[in-house]
Amino acid sequence: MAGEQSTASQIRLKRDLSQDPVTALALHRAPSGKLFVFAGQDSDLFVYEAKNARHKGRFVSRVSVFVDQPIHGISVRHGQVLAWGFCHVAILSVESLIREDDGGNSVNNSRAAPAIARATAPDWIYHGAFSEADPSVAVLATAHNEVIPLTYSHHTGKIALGAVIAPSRPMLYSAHLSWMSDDTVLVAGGTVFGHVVVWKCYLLKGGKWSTETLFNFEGHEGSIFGMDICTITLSDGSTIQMVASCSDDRTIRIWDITETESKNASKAPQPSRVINTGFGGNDIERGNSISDSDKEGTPIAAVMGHASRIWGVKFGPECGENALSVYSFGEDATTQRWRLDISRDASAGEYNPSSSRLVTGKMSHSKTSSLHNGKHLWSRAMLVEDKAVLIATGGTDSQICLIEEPVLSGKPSNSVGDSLILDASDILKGLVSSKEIISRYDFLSHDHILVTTSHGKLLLGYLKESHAEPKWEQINVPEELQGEVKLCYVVKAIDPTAALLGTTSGNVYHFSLSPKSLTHVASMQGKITDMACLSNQNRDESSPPLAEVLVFLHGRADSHYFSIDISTGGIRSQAQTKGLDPRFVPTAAGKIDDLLIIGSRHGWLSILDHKGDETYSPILDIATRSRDTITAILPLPPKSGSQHTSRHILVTSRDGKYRIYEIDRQPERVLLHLRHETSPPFGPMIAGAWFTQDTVPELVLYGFRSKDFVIWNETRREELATIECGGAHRTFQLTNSKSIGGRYRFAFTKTSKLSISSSDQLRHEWVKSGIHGREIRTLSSNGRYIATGAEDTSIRIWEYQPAGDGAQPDLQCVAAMKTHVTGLQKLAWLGDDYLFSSAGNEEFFVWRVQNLESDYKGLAVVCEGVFADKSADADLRIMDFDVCKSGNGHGIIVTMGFSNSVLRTYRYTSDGGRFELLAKGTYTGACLTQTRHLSMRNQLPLLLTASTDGHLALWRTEPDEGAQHKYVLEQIVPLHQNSIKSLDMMKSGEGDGYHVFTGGDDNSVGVTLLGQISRNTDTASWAFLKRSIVRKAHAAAIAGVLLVRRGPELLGVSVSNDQRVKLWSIPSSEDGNIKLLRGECIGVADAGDIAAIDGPKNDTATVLFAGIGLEAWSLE
Amino acid sequence: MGKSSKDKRDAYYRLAKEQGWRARSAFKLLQLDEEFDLFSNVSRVVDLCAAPGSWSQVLSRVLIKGEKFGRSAWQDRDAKVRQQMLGVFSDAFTPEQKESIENSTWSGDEAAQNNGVDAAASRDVKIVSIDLQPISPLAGITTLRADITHPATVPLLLSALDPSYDPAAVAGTQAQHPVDLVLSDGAPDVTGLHDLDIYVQSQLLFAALNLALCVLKPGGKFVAKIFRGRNVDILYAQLKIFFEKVIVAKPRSSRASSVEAFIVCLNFRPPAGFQASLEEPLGVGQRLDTLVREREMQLPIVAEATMQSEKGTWDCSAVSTPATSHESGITEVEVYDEVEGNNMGNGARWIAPFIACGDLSAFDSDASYQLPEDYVSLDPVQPPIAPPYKRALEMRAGLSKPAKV
Repeated sequence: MAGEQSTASQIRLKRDLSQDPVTALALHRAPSGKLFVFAGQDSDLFVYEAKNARHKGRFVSRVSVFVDQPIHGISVRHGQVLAWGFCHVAILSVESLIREDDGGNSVNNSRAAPAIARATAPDWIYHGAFSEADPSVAVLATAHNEVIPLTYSHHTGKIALGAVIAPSRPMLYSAHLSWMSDDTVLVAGGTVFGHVVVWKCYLLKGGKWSTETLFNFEGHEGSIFGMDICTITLSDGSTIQMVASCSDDRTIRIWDITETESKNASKAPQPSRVINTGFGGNDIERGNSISDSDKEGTPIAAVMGHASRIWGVKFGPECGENALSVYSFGEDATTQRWRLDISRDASAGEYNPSSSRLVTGKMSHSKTSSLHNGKHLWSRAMLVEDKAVLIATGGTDSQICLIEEPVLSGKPSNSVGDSLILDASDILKGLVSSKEIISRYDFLSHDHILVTTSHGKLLLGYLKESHAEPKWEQINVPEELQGEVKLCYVVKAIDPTAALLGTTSGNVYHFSLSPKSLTHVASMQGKITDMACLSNQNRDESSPPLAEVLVFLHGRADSHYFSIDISTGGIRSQAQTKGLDPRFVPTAAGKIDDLLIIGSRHGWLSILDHKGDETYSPILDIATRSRDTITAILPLPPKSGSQHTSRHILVTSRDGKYRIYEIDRQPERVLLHLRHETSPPFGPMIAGAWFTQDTVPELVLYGFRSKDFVIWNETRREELATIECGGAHRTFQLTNSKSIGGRYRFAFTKTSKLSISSSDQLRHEWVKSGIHGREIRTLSSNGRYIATGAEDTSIRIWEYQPAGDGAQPDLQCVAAMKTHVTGLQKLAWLGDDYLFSSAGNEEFFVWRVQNLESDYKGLAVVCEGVFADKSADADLRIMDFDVCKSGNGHGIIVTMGFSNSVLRTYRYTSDGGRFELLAKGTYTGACLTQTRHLSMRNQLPLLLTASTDGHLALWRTEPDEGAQHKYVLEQIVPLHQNSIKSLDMMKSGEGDGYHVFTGGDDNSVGVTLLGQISRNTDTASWAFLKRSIVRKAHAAAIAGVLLVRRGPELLGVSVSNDQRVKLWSIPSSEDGNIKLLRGECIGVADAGDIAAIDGPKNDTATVLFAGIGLEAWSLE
Repeated sequence: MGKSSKDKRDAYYRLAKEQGWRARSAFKLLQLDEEFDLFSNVSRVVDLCAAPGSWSQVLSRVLIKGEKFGRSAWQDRDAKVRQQMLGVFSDAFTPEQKESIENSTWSGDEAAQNNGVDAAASRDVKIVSIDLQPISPLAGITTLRADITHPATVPLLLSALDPSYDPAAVAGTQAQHPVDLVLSDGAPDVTGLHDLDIYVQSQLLFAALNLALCVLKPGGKFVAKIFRGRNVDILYAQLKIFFEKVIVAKPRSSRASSVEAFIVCLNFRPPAGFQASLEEPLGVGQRLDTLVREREMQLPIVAEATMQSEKGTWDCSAVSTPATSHESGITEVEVYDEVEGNNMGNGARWIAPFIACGDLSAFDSDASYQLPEDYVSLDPVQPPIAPPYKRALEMRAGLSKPAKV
């Protein structure tokens, strides 16, 4: 026993990776020119270096600032970091956080820990600001509208807090401080009841102070969550000061807080006004308070923004004469840019010091950035520099995004957003008739666009810079061909130097860049509707001499194949497809080795083989799961080192999904297996895809989401571009860089005008990648991959890379599925290739998971089975389930526990994804929270269940009507007082029993020993041997428990809403008792589940905790 | 979620409508009363954060009208029948419980009709309810519209309790005729930022406690909603200063999936010399934490102190053999001792005992129920309170096409 005790006491839990909500941010430009992002995640301060044009920021350092308390704000000034959270405040030197003494190879704490000065204020702190003049002085604003002066001694490294200063003490939801001079601080507070209180705090010598209340604005109809203060000089030379507020009522309001002379004159303390307690009664009935201008305290401007509460507002730089940009940050996880135009109210006449109606304004929406997942932008920071404004945002999803926007000079320009709008008359300066419109076009490369007009002109545009107008050149078209150009229906680039033109008269012409000429290639019967480029997909590579194209004809199933010399347009070989169903309307095609794959308008795929001379004949036709147009077919990148092309093709469709198929070439036939099917978070129309040329290729998809064109990196799950173009039903072309993310040109026709939107690099970057933006409810590990299921109804699969060789531990998303429509309840792996998921509305899916033989690292996941045996209203939750392989090797046994107390066991067979009901039972009416198979008896499972009534129950089956069985209770015992929220079990050492570890809503953990009464397969049964419980294991509900075996030791891990992780020693026999080994604080709030993955060494394991946030801890 | 599917998903929502309660939370108070006998010998009550008034409604019906509510109000008779059929729980119930189960199983009528009027209903009942939102009038209850976190509410409450109250008197913040019970079911609109929500909730709790300290008589009771999240053990420790017993209770009508629970504080006994003060509110500063620490200094050390590392984590290698006891076949293991973690950053901690109340035959707030096919879904007794973004919703709905978000 003594020996066991000492091994157990050596076990340590260490936090390796945290993906917690980002609750505080600050931006800092170092003298070296480097841009640093300071981020608060739980109690730790992280520093990243942001690099433009690179995807991810470089991790610089991490330091634990508080104990058991998230950081809620960071302010950087004078080379010092001021951080606060709840009533705690800390000061650190910037230098100690960004120093590069170890080449950046540090892993977590290997560098010397920076010195941290800490202090505790009497109340929650909403804001803090260093004095501009004196680096040893700062002020803090609290949740009761108080200011606390702070002095920091560099000498002793200690913080001293002064006495609390407050003119009145309403409860606030936000506050903002701004130093006006060396001894004056302007305070803006937003109250719980929607008032904006503005006052000045004079900090006098000797610790004395005085206050002056300036304004108390009413009008918001909900709590105020964010404030900002700014001063702007108008064109008439006058200066106004403004405060911005954002609220629960979904509005942003701008208030004039310029002090008038009369205000300054009456500096005497004002009599304390009777302030309404609660929401101002008359406000609500008054009607639209925005238009009510008779009362003092009418905002300069008010606007409704976001489809949610608004958490933050910030003034940006000026964006024109008397115009200012304003940014707002919402619960809807978007950042919105507004333009605030300010004007003097002429009707107010001469300068009237007693009125605040001098200034009016108008807020108009200019841009929405939706770069985060899920909900809540908890933190934001802004850095205004000469040429650009940088905005960092942090969310529940643990992502940090950095948006860079040019500071707009206010000069008029013909650019709308990032798009350059062109029409034909602009292009040729009156050389063409006014009725002439742009017809078809394609990009040859990033630099050239080839355009045809309705009058048969052929134009070449040279695009030099993203926002400059292209230089246009009219290509000399022989007179006899001008009519043909007029009939051109398709322009298809086949190389940066060449394109093909297809006409409705059935002719194909070749255009080459040098010499700029048009030559006839081929003629065929019918109208050419489209052409698919089958090879030479990689336009960035040095071009092969030949391009293969497939030409589609109107009303014909059969198409023409050409292999064309790129430089001359000469035909090297040609063929025709034959034998396709006449109803087949080809829309997309790809080629792998000598197989042609063609997709149709109605979602069919056909594989054609080269049969003898000049014909391709179908050898396989399948209806895909899409009934909609196939838009692109492309091969996956081959596995490096492999001699063969990939066996996999990626198919995009207008049904909003993309799919990966494996081409299975058998001696006699060819089969097509669906390996992957998902929808990216845009759509429903996916127009195409490409793989990047990185060492590990990434998948980029593009398509439409309502009125926007979207480019989406599926691998990183990041939206690279969003272009407002009016929607999917239009002519468009995209050229992109396969090596530089965010470099693209997108041309589209809108109201007969050609628009080109260009970008040379990403306008935003992800400093840090993240996770689900909602609570993770369930976790499951198969040893290598971790699946997470969240309240956002999506499932993701991750690969965890532990720390090594200077690399930070990392969690990479390898698949994301959004098929459930309700929040996930439970996920479970069976082996490496099956994942099961359950949710509300009786949703239960079976996922087949495989690796692809490709350098592309995405996992292939396809939904193989959908549970359909639902109740009449299909409104129950499948709370939990267990799965195991059937004893006779036929199918998988699935037992589900429903929220209406019902248990059902099915046999699932992958062939057709069938669920066959084997047995059912009903508990007392209490919701079943846990369902587990113990062992099989007569091909049916013996069960252990737990429920909201705190009882554990054992079940066996008895024959019922027909072939079905019913569950009957074997034994039932109380353990917890109420809901058993978590349960894990493990075979005990000898294998004839189970250790069952439970966590309850009643703050308790329980250990129950289950013993097998008989091992005979026909009479096998189980019994509860011993139950023990720790009543005050945690201070709150325990939603996650896990058992891990380390050598001879059985360890239990529990995680609770009290944000503690506890490590327990579980007794191996009936004699021992559970012991607490360790307890640690964790940043994951609302923890939902725990899972373990095996460590690189046998005696280590990584334990993952997920809820709001996700953390990986190593157990050593 | 439609009304009828909510009826199935949420048994208490349906029961509240059937039994005429303004909100399902009425059952939480009834179940708390069943466990802790909150209303016995109680005639003067303050109900804080009362809107829409379901708790006040319970007070009105029990204390003024003298109605009685028992288990039958929330018992799932099907479940009881099933429990008997399955032969389970036989050892989980006392004979009295069994008897009551059997009796109520055969009493088929609506619970409310069975509730006879108690002739002994007290004549001098005084109930004052306060909320920010207006509360529809209730028989015999004084309602005030005020912010309980605002100091001005104290004199308002005192004069409502006692018409002869004189704010200028020496004990200006103490009730002359104190009350027996203070209730608070208040919660903020949560933001999702957990520790901010917990902080704001604790401010509501402290405001309620501050009022309670002014009006509660020694031996009185205090019941308030809490969020069981991070650092809730600090709150427990601080409440323990003022009450002999502090228990965290979860009625079955409160969902297990919710962080909500109720702190039940019994036998009010403020520390000697403690004076409730408007100038020094409870929710800010170190005052309470200091009191907790002082109190702990006076207590004998009953358990071995555990080692604690700098980071505030615990090295528990020095833990002695845990105390165990056996109850209903379950070995009770004590490992978390009350001294543990007291030096942690945010204050002294103590975990209050947990009690789940409302017995096992109660409807399960987490379960889905099958309703008869001809079941007619009822309208709520009171429509929900308009949210602050009501106008935003109206404006959005008024737009011809949805605004781009």
